[in-house]
Amino acid sequence: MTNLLLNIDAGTIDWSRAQFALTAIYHWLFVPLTLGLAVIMGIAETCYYRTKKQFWKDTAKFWQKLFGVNFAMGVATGIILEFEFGTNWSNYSWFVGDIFGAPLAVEGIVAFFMESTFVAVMFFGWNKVSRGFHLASTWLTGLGATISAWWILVANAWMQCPVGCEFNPDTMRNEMVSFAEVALSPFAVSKFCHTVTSAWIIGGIFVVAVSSWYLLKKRETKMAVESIKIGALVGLVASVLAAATGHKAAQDVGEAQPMKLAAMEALYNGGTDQGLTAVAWVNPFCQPDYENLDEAPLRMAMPYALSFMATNDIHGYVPGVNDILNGYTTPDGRVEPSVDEKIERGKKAIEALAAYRQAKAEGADEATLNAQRSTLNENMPYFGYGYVKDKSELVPFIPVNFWCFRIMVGLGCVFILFFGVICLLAFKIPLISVITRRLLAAIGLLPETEADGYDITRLPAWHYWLAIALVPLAYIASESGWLVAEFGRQPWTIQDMLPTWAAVSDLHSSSVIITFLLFLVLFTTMLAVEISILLKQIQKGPDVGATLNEK
Amino acid sequence: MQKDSFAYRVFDLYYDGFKNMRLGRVLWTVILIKLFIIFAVLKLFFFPNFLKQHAAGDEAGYVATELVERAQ
Amino acid sequence: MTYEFLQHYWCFVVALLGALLVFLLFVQGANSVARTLGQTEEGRRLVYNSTGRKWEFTFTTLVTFGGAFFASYPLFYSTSFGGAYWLWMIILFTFVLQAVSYEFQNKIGNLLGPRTFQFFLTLNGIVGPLLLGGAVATFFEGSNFIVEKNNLIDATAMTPVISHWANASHGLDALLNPWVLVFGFAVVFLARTLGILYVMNNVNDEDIRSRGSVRLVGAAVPFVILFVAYLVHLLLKDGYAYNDDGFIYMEPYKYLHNFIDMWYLTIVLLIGVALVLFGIGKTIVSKEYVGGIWPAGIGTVLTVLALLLCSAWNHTAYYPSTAQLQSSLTMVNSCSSEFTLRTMFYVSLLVPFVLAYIVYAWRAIDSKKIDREEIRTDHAY
Repeated sequence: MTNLLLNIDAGTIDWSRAQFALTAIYHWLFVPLTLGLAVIMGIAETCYYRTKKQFWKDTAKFWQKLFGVNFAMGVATGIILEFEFGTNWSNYSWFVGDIFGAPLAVEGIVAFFMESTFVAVMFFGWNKVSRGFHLASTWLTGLGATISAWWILVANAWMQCPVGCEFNPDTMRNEMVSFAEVALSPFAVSKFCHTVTSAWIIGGIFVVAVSSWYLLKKRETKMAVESIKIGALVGLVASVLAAATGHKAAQDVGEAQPMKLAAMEALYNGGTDQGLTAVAWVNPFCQPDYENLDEAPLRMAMPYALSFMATNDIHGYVPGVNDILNGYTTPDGRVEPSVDEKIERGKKAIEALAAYRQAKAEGADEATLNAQRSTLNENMPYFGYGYVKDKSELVPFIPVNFWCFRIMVGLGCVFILFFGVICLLAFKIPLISVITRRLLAAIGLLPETEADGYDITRLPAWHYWLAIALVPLAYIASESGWLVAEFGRQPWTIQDMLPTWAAVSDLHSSSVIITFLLFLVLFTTMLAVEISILLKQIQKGPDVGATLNEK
Repeated sequence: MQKDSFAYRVFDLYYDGFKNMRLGRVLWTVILIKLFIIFAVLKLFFFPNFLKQHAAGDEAGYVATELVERAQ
Repeated sequence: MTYEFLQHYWCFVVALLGALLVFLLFVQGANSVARTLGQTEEGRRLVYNSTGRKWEFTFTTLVTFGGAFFASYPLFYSTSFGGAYWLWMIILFTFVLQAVSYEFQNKIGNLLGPRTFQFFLTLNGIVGPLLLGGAVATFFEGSNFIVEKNNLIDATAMTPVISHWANASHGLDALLNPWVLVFGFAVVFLARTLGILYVMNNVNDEDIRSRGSVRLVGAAVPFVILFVAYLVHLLLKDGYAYNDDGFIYMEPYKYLHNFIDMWYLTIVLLIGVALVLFGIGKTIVSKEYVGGIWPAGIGTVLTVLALLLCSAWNHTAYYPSTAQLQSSLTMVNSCSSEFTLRTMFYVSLLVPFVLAYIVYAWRAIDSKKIDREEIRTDHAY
C-alpha cells in the first residue's frame, strides 16, 4: 500500500487515508437519515394536509422532531472533509481545481440556503403560515437536502470517472470545459440515484423500527401502525429502486473502473460468460495471491450473472485483475493496453509536463511549448500511471471490496424481503395478505391466531425486535457501499490520473496520527451524546395535540 | 411597523420560534459547541491550508515541483 | 484421512476440551467468591450447593482433557506432567481438597470445622484457575525443558528419560514470567466472572442475585484489562514456528500471522469475545436478566478454542522450549502413531452421545433452581 521509494514519510499516506475514511464514515451516519426521514415526514404531513386530522399533525411533528435532532447532529460533519482536502491532500485539491469549487459553491448557495430557510418555516411556522405553505416548506427542506447530495456526488463521481475537464499545465489545475458534462455525467446520475434511494431505505427502516418499539411497549399504537405503513412502503420502493440503480451503477463501474469491479468480485482471471460470485473463501485480512490463483477457492457463483450485470449481455466480456494488469482484447476487437504500456505513457506525460514548465520558465518559443503541451494532452488520461513503480500498487485491497459488496447486496436483498413482508402484513391487500399470513403461520413464524387477522399490533415480540435489530444492519450496508466505492478506487484519488502518493501533502505522519486520534475521541463522545438525545426523544414520544412549536 | 407586513411576519417567525424552543435549545447548544470546536480549534490549530503555507505565492509552481519530483 | 488431518483433528479435540474446561472453571470462580457473595451462613451454603452440583463436570473434563492430550500427544504429557510436575501436582492437590471439602464441610463429627473446608474451596477457587491459566500461557511463552529422544537407547546418557526439566524448579519457574502471571490472573478473574454469572442464574435468591450484579464489576473489569493486555502482547510477540523439515525457528509476529492466515479462527475469537462482553454487560445493566452465563459461557468456549488452535495449527510449536529451541514440541513431532490416532478418531465419534447425556444430566439436576427452602429440607452439602 505504501510506496517506500518516496521521500515522504511512509505512514503519512495510510494515516491520511484512514483519517479521511473515519471522518467520511462519521458524516455518512447522519446524511442518509436526513434524506430518508425527509420523505417520511413529507408524506405524513401530506396526509395531514388532506385529512386535516390532528392525529396526522402530531405524527408529522414527531417525525419532524426526530429529523431535527438528526439534522443538528449532522451539522458541519462534512466541513471537516473540506478541511482535510486543504491540509492532508493539498496536491489533490489544487489539481482538481474547478471540479470541487463550482459544485460546492452551487451547493452552498442553492441547496443549503433552501434547506435552512425552509427548515425554519417547518419548525417555527406551524400556526403562522398557511397549511399549504407549511407543507411545501417540509417538502422543500427535503428537496434542498437532496440537491445538496447531488453536488457532492457529482464531485465524487468525477473522482471515479473524470470527464468534462482539461488539464492546464500553467495553473496545474483541471479546468472545466463543460459544466453539463460534469454535472450530468451518467456516472454521477446513477451514483446519485443509487445513493439517495439507499438513504430512503435507512429512513424506512428507522421509522419501522421506532414504531415497532412503540408497539412493543404498547404505546402510541395508532401512530406506530400508520407510520409502519408509510415506512414499509417507502422502504420497499426504495430497496427495489436501490437494486435497479445499483445494477446500473455496477455497469458504469465496469466501464470506467474495471479494476474496481474485478476487486469487488475477487475476479482474478476474467473472460466471457462470467458468473456472479455469491460467496468464496476470501481471507478478509490479507490480499489474496491473485497472480497465482485461478479463482477464489470454494467459489459459489451464479452463472452468467456477472457478465449480465456488467454488460447487459450474458456472454459479455469482464476482465479480471490479471487481465487488466497484462492487457486484454475484448471479443469485439477493443484492445486495452497492458499496465506496462500505461506506465510508459504516464511517464511521457509527466516528462512533458516537466519539460513544458522548464521551457516556459526559460522563455522558449511557441512551437516548443505547443509540442510539449500536445504530448502532455495526448498522454494525460494515463498521467497517474507515471507514478507507479510496482504493478501490485494498482490492485485495490480485494478482501474489503469483496466482503463489503457482499454485505451490501446481501442486506439489500434482505431489506426487499423484509419490507415486502411488512407491507403484506400491514396493508389489507385482498387475497395476498391472507395468503402471506397463512404461509407465515404454516412455517411457524406467526401464531395461528393471527393468521386470519390484519392486526400488526399483536405480532409476536420477536418481529418487533427484528425490525429494531435491522437498524444497525442498514447503516452497515450503507457504509459498506461507500467502502466499496472508495476502497475500490485505490490507489487513485482521481481514476488513472493521480495516485494517493502523488496527491497527499508532505506532512509528518505524527501530525496526522494526532488529528486522527483527536477525531476518534471527539466524534465518539459527540456521537454518544447525540444518540442519547435522539433516544430520549423517542422515549418521550410525540406531544399530542400541542399547538405551539416544540423544537 | 405594520403587523401584517411580510418583513414583520418573517421577523416574528424567527423571534417567536427561538423564544419558545425547548429541545431546540439543547440542539443549538450541541451545534454551537461543535461549530466552535471545528472552526476555532480544529481549523485553527490542526488544519492549516497546506499550500498557502508552503507555496509562498506560487501554488502552481509548488504543486508542479511536487508532482514531478514524486514521479522520480 | 491422512496423518496430517488426524493431527489437526486431535489438536481440535484437545483444544475444545481445554475450552470447555475453562468454561467449567466457573465452579472454582464461584467458590472463590462464595464468602462475600453469600454473606450469611445460609447464603454461603446456597452458593456451595449450587456449585456442588456441578463440580464433578469440571473435574471429569479436566481428567478427560488430560487423557485426550496423553493419548494423542504423549510426548507433551510426559514432558509437561513429568517435567513441570510441581505445577501440575499443586493443581491436582487443590482439586482433591475441593472434592473432599464439599462432602465434609457440614457433616457432624467434622474435626476441622466447616471454615477450614470452605478455605480449601476458596484455595482451589483461586489457585486452580491461576495455575491452569499459567500452564496454558506456557504454550505461548515457552517452558524450560529439554527433549532428548535418543536417551532411551543411549547407554551413556545420564538418565533414560526422554525429556527433563532444565532446572530444579520443576515447573514453578513458569510463575516467574510476568506474562504467565498476567494470563493466569486473567483466567482467575474470568472464572470468577463466570462463577458469579452462574450463581446468579442457578440460585433463586434476591439477595444473592443483586449482590452478584455488583460483584460482577469487580471481577469483570480486571479480567478484561488483563485479557486485553495479554492478547496485545501475544499479537506483537515473536512466536515459535516450524518448517516442513521440522526445524524450529523464531518468527516475529507469529501469532498475528496465525490470526491473519487462519482468519476463520479470528472470526470465531471475535464472536466469542462479543458474546462474553454481552453476557457481562447485560447482566450489569439490567435488573432482571440472570441468563448471562449462557452467552458468556459459549463466548468463553469459542474464544479459548480459537486461542488454543492458534498455538498449534499453522506450523506453530504448541509447547515451546526456552531452554533448547529444537526441543520444542510441535503437532508433528510429539503425536501418537497414525494407527493410534485413527483408531481413537473412530472412538471420538461417540463424544456427541457423551455430551448428550451430560446435557441431560445437567438439566435433570437443575430442573428446579436452588433456594433456601431446599438447603433446609433436602439433601445438601
